[in-house]
Amino acid sequence: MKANNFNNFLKTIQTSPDLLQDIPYWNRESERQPIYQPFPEWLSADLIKALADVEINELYLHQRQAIDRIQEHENIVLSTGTASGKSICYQLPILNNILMGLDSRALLIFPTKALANDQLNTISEIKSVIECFAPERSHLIIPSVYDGDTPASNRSTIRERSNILLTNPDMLHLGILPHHTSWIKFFQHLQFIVLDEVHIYRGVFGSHVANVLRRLHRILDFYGSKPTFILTSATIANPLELAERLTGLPFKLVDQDGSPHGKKNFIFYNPPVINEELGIRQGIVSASLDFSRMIMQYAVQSLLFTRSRRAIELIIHELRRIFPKNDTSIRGYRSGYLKSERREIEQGLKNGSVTLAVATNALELGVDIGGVDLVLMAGYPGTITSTRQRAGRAGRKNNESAAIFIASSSPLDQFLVRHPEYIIDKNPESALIDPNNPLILINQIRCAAFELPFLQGESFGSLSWEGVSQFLEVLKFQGVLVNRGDKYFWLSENYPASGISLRSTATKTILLQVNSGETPRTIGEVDFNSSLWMTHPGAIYLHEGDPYLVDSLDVENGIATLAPTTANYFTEPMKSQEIQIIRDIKTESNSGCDIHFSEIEVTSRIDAFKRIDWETRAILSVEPLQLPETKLRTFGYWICIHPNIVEKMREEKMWFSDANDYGPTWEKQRNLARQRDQYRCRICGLPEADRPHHVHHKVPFRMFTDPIKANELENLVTLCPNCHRLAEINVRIRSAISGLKYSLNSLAPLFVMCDESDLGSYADPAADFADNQPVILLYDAIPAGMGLVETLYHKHFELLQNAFDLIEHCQCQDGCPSCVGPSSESGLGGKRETSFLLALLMERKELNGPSL
Amino acid sequence: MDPLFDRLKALGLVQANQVPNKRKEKSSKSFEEIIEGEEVSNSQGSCYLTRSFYPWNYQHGDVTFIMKDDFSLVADAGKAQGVRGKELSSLLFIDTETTGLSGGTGTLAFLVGLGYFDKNGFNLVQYIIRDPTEEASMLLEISNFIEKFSGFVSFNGKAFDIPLLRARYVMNRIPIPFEDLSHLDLLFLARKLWKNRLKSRALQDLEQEILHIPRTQEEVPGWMIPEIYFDYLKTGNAEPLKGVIYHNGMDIVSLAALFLHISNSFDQISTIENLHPVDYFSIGQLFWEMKINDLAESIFLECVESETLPEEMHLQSIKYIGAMYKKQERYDEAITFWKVALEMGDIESAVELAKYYEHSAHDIQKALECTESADQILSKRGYHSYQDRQLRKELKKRKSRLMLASQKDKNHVSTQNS
Repeated sequence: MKANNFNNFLKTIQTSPDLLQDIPYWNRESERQPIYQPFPEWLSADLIKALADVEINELYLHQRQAIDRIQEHENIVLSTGTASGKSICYQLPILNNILMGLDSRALLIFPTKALANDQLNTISEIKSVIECFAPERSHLIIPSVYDGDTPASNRSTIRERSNILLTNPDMLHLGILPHHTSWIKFFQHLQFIVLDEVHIYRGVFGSHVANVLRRLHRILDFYGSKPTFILTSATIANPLELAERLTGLPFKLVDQDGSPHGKKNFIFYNPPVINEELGIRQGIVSASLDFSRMIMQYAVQSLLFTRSRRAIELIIHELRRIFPKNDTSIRGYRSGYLKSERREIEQGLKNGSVTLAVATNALELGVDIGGVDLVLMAGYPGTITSTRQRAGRAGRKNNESAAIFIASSSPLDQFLVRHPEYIIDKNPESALIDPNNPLILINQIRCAAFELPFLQGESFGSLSWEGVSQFLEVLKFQGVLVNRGDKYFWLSENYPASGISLRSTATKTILLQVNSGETPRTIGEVDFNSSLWMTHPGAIYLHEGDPYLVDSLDVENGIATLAPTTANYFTEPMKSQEIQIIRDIKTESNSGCDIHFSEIEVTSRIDAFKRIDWETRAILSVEPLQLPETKLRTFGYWICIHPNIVEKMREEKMWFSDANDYGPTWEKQRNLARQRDQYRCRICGLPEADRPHHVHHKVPFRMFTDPIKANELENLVTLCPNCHRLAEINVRIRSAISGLKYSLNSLAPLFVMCDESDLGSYADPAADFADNQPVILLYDAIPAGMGLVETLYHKHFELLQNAFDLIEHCQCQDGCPSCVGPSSESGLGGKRETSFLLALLMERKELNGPSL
Repeated sequence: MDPLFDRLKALGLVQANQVPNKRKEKSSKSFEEIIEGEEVSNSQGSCYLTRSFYPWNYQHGDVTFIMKDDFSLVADAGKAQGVRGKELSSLLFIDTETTGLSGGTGTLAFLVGLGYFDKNGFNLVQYIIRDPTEEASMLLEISNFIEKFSGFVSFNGKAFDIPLLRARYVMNRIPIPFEDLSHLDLLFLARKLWKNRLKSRALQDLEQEILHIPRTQEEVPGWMIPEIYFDYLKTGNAEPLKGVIYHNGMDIVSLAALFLHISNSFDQISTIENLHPVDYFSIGQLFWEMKINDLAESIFLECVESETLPEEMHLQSIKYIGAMYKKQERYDEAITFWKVALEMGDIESAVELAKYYEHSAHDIQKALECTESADQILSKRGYHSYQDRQLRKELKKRKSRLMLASQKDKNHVSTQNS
């Protein structure tokens, strides 16, 4: 019945010309047969019996390979598909040791509490199966979750007795390592360390975790333990490199997936364009609603992933209107729901009573729901890895399944919908970490010194004693370390781990408080730097889709005060950035430009903000702000455009834009302007001769909704034809580099697996640090960087090629938020200029460029 | 400073004002010249100790140091059965001074004070490390010292000093010498004994309020202690450490005095006249909780007779007796006490009576009367809290149940009559 419905569902799509024309790509993957291997001889009979109980009578190839290596004490990283049975690979060796009667303990680290609890359930189930036929041995298995929610009264028993400890990196950092002496037995008998879902450990979080593991290694050395590391990862480009950088140990990669799957469809859906000029497409919410209707019609069990909580509520609300009777078969699933409610939905997905679950990433990681027939993704989840993980939720047993990616109009979505190979074929994403980032190190070395005194000559992961000693000297100078004999003793009242979050580098955060009712309510927090542009006084701050007006920002006390508002405008900060190049590290000269990788300092200041009408996008006012400037020392990758390219752009006579209808006042105002300027060019002073000079709009005409305002005298200036041409050219160059900046910044996350906000960008038509040549610059947005832009520097041409591709294939006329960004200040879209510039930078043969 | 420091500054990771640049004068006098004591050496190196002595009959505030032959009641009340029946000289009084209160492996105990009674009086030994490298040697000394004792007496040592020392032993790879020792933590007892009388049960407050001991000019407040030690390590000037040693010494002597005081109080429970009436009542509560029932009973009976005990505790004593008799199923005696309490306007006792009449005496009419009384008292007083409103609900329920039962009774009686 179900399969039939699913087939009908697919057939409906296949036979609908309307849908098909918006499906640029449909990937069909045929079914895969399992590759089985027998259980190894050393595996305990109890386990074999317990597995038989859940109908596992053999192992898949990768599972056997993994446990064989683990048995040989080799560290492994397991990188196979979603639902390929990765957790068995660590469960078996761990349980085997315990059932043999050894005092063998295991530390299992999960990126979230939910995952640890989920794994506790799985292990408890195995335990209860064994209990049926071998109760005395099943009691040897003592699994426990130890995290911030563990009641204090249970903790000492767990420390003493548990032999399968499930926790998260934050708890290891905050609660376990600084108290390692309370865990003597545990550490002395530690045989296995499992790190699940390591692809999550990237960027700042990953770099912190790598250091937490360095601290763990010091403790293990102290207790003389040498456990085997078992890591699992989603399929990323560099699992082995990531494993080795995280742990500092050699690893073997196991990635030959022996698990079976049925036929898989991956459908790329690009909602139709509903406004050609502005390049506006049907929104992802409305497109997902259309699909949801079909899903309910055919009763195809599905998961719909959205990007925000708000989208979930919107979709559910609409669906409830359409299908009032089916209330319980449509469910929302997100963080913030009660635990019991979530369990109920998970259960409903397993037993089939829930047809459609609308979820955020809360459902993404590991949470066990079995498989569904169809996965819908409303918008790109941010990384290819998680796109693939979500798609991997589709497929139960060997049945046919489908995943549908609904592209939003963001540049990355639009790029991917035209380049499905990035999602279908080998994942290009590398998880990058920099455990030696000094910001992270200085904090982690504090924690390490608290846990065990540093010894003269001791290294810290890949950081040699020379490196370590510099940090120790700083800490000594700050008065928290004392050097006596060959040791550095922690001598401070502080408990350093408590002030250090693994998940951010922000040292200072601002609480967002809403003053409604009697006591102020805290709705969230932002880091100090973001607070300056997100929650400056007068800003409109969106929290879960609701607008708040920022009343005040108290930087000293770390509080921003907000009030709910019904204002029909939004605000946009006007940021000024100055770049200073500290030193060039790498440079490369190409015919059109030089590229640089440099250490830089970015000075940012929010000078003012604009109030912009939601409806018309008209600027209602510009308000000045007095805020402190911030300095960021980091690394940048920048492109410096050669003068010959600028010249080439000049040669292309591309400044005569389409004639505007300048409105009824134009003739009169034009003459008044010339009169005011005494019929001379305001730049070169040339007086008018036989023909009248041009009159130029300082703020371009297009920016105004009211032509009379545009033509006000303050906005007009008299220019000779030559100077007018130059003025327009500068506008053109400006829009070309700002378009290029926008598209590079949007695409970069695809290559370095980060959020867009992890990178900063800067464009300047005449950068003073580059002899007044035009510059486009991307930088790591955290102090001392994470290695993101260094990778981008090495992928320069790939990046340009893809940006060109993105812009060329965008269906808009002259630039849109899907390619070169919203209309620039100049009022010009900049699409043609940007792709012209890109063509030149890529040294294409047809140097005269695409026709403009 | 080295280039890393400048880099960190440029990154905004260390602020100029974070950097303490106070280079204090190095001391010209050595540690040993300032702190009177002796150096001890063992296989782990050396450390330093100072000794003091307080002979029998030494007067510490209100307490006179005299031999105690039996302190079993204190051991029972403090859940330290291991020292029950032991001699006074087998107790080791302990207090440490540390580099912080947060706990964890980065906190050091740089001064460990140990006190004990012998045939001459009270002895105080304070081990101190002149720098962190001496820790192992100090711990080893303490290991050897501890051997002849059977239990610790401390103030909050269960939660703080002992776990901290345990961590230090592990860090120095020396076997933990006190895993078999019993532990009498007076904080636990003090909280129970003085909760009805004192706002704070910190050792120093007990010292002033209960033992009446003033500290001299030498005293330094506890919160300054870590900083004093850090300063000493940086400058080598041991002078301020004198205050720390005084502070620790006083803590231990007061600890011993507090122990004697509690022990003396327990020896004098035959009549309320001997003690502060509130303390007397509190001892009753403590014994009640520790299930030392015979003593609790005699204390509360004394309290019921007392003229000096505050009204509220007087009532409580009556209720304790009621509860005690109820447990022992001595209902006839219990109800007399509950009735007295009901006279005093106690709702709970009214409820107890109602329960008794309903379930044990099967006198529905009386049960109803008592429930009525409880309800009346409650409504007169008003419903101020969640508990009050809950109670009111319960009473309503009880009342309607009793009404029903009484109706049935009547029917029953009438059918029988007809």
